[in-house]
Amino acid sequence: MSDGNAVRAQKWKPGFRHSAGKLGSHFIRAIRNGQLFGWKTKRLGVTIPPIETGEPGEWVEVGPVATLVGYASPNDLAPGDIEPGKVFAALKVDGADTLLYALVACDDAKILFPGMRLKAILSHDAEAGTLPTFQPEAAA
Amino acid sequence: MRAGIAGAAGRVEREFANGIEPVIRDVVRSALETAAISLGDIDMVITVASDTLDGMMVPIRAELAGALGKPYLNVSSSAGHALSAAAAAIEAGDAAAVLVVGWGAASKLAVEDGRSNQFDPFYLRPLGASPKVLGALQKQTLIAGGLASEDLEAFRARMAGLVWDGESPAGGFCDGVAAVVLRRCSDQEAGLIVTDYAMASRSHTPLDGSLDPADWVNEAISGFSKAQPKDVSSQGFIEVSGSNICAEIRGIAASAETGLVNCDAESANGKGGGASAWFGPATGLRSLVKLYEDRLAGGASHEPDRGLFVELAGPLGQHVTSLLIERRSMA
Repeated sequence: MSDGNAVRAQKWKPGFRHSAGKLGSHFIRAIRNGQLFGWKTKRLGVTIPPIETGEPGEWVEVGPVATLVGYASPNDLAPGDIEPGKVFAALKVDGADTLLYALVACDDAKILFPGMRLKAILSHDAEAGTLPTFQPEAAA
Repeated sequence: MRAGIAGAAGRVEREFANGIEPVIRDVVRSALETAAISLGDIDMVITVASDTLDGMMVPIRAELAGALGKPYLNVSSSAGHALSAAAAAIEAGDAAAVLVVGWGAASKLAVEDGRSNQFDPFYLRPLGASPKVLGALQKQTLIAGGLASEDLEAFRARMAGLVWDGESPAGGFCDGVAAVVLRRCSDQEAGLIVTDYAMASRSHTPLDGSLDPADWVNEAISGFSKAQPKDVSSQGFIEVSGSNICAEIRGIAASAETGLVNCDAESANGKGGGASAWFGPATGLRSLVKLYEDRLAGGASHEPDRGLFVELAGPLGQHVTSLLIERRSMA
């Protein structure tokens, strides 16, 4: 970009506090309690993460098993794009009607295939992320 | 009343050496010249530009583009949405001449792509989601579904050759400006007429299980209300401008199967599409400018008389706009 010009590399990483809202807060607290819930509405069915549609709904427990729909091949990504040892994937959690985008713990993406059964790694950790990582069911 | 394409101009470079502002002025001036009208004849200006991509500069650059004192709209999502808004304003009688101008300095994304901020802060951003990661997921899913990676690479090379006479810049990222003048045309008037237009859209991360842009293009084209089947003796074209090469190749496949234009998939995208020269949400305008300049502006017998212009915006191409364009001759 700026060949020949002096540059000074700086990183700007401000911190933010985002509110997860009513549905998101319930969903995230449940994950940190080792449970996976979807939000069921007439319009969208069971969504995970929950989607607010403005209509009445109910929480239903889903998973923890899921089916792999697709994944991002590490060959098409640069080191650092995704956490090492994990693969970015789209999956369908048992009992849910919408896709969930999540990480799959996997050292070699070659073993992954659409239709593969995965299982959520649920923890009882107050600092756990907002989505569980999945792993091949056979390894669980 | 319909909207007709009265003029167009544009420029893309790997990086504009002296900034984007002088290019915006030059391109707008050129587009107005090709339409043989002045800025004073323009009733409405629609810009296609993104503050998140270009650093909160849209309002200032819009004035450079000629928006000052006129009804003005910025469409930050896609060129297709802007063209549709312009056509709708003309059909509704709200404007007789609309200038659609878009720009973007995306060359900087080759160094650092900050578009991960487009993803929600709770679920996707912490995972590392970005347009590049979503694109890789889409590519793998399509390959698992039967798309040959060799065909993808051959298509990528062909598109790069058409735009750059060789290799694309890294990631296809470049700087660009493009402008199109749309003018009200009566039903008897000759010109390049936007006969129909329709849209389809999915969320930033599609939820329904399909990542195939062909599904979204089919849905968009099924929204045409006035389109008639093709005339088999007609000269047709298909130009698909996508945000990535997978979106383009699947968009072409779907467009060729509609039966609306006389053009096969192998002959499509003669102007190079959008993924090989992506400069932001306005990228689709470049293809339309090239179609206007190279194939549609004259009157030679080999020129197409009906074509599909399809734009796929968003990281996966999930915001689709399809335009049916017809060259109408004087009776």
